[in-house]
Amino acid sequence: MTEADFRARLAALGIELDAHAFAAAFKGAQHLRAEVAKIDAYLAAKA
Amino acid sequence: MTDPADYSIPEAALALREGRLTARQLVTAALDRIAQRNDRLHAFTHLNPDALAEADRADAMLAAGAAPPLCGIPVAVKDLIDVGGLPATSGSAVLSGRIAAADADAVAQLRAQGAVILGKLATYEFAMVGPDLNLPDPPARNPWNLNHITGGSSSGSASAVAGGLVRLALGTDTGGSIRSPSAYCGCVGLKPSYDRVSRAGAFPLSPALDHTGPLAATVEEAALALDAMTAAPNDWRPASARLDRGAEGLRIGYARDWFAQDLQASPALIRAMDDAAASFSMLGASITPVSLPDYGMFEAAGSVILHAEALAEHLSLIRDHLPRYGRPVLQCLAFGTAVDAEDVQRARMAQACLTQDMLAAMAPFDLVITATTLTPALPFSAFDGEKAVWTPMRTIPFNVTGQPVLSVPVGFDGDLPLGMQIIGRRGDEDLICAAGNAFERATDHSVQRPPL
Repeated sequence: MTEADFRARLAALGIELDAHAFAAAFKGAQHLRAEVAKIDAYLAAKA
Repeated sequence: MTDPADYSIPEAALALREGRLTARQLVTAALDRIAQRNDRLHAFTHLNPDALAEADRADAMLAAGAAPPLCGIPVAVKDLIDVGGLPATSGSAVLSGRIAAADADAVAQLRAQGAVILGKLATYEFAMVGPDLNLPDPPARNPWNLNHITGGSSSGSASAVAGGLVRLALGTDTGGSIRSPSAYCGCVGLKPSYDRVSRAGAFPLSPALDHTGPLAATVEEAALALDAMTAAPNDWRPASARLDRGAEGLRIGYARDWFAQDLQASPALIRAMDDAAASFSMLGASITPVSLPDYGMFEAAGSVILHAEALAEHLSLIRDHLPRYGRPVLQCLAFGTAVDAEDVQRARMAQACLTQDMLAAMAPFDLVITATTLTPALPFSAFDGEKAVWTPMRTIPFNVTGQPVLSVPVGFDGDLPLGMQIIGRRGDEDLICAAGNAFERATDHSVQRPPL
């Protein structure tokens, strides 16, 4: 997920963050995407 | 003479029934204690103005000989859980001024058993992240060291119980919010099996992972509280049914690798857990190392579900009250936009698989023990109120699996308490409480009191 994607998702929900808060939130969002990838790998190994 | 505020629930219940104590005296003692200490602890956010009137009604029931088990016993409630007629803000400016129309189910159950509601307790904002120093209510402080956090999100519940303000408090636990503050503050936290206690009337964080349960001064009191909170009729074995069973013959798996291999784990915690395993062995249990499934996978599945569900719960509030959210909470809610419905569906599939993996790992054992958190409570100086800071725990796997877990005090790192989790299979609250009670009685961790 790119920074622009994340910004668009926030805008769609009306969530406005200042630059500092956006940077922290984007880091968290990237971490969550990494968690999704981990889940996909886990399920693939189970299949 | 012991101050009635320090009576255990069984001691108080007996004194009330024998006429040596009135509910008004008991509640007055608790209110006096709150008046003495809450300015330092910030555990209570609102007191119930009708508490003494409720105590008088309890006294009338006691005099009539028709008293239910918790008649006259003071209880306090996390401000995420509704108490009819009292403020219900979930620790947020977003809900400032909201008054609950009715009791949450768990509160109603406790009232039906005669409990007197003392008031509402501090919570991390919407049970999500904290502490945040910029909210309407100041954050609760750790009774063992006021410069340290309580952990959360049931922050006021743990501070109130450990600080001697009340013997029993209600909390909620979505990723460890009963157990981690219990560990950090040195009290007992009981996260029941998923769905054992109704969540109705508690503000949802993540309905797939949310649990409501008690924090208490001792295992016995936590077990009695859980039984009172479990709606009848039900098929659950009472948590208090086997408290005197002891630990003899129990097959206990010791999940040491789960925390000891993490570089963040405090050496004092590792020593305390090894000592606890030795104590169980002395009590007649067999202790065997067990390798549980990868902790990180549980955290992954839990995080995806939690953040997606939290965002869904808050969409309408965000639309109407965005500027009133605390910054760390808003950032956490923003994370949830990074996942979509398909991601959540796959996380739920992983949740089912991980639950099977966990139960398979536990198959040779009656119970498993592991650490609750990896460190003692952090100082407030580690939190700037600008961004979310996570403290290292080992709790979310059992929100994912829905298994019951008891967190009990296991020792200290300096002046700060540490906690141990005792984990059972679904419905095995009686067994984890039996083991916890045996451990508590064989050690002196739970009788330590903070220097207030």
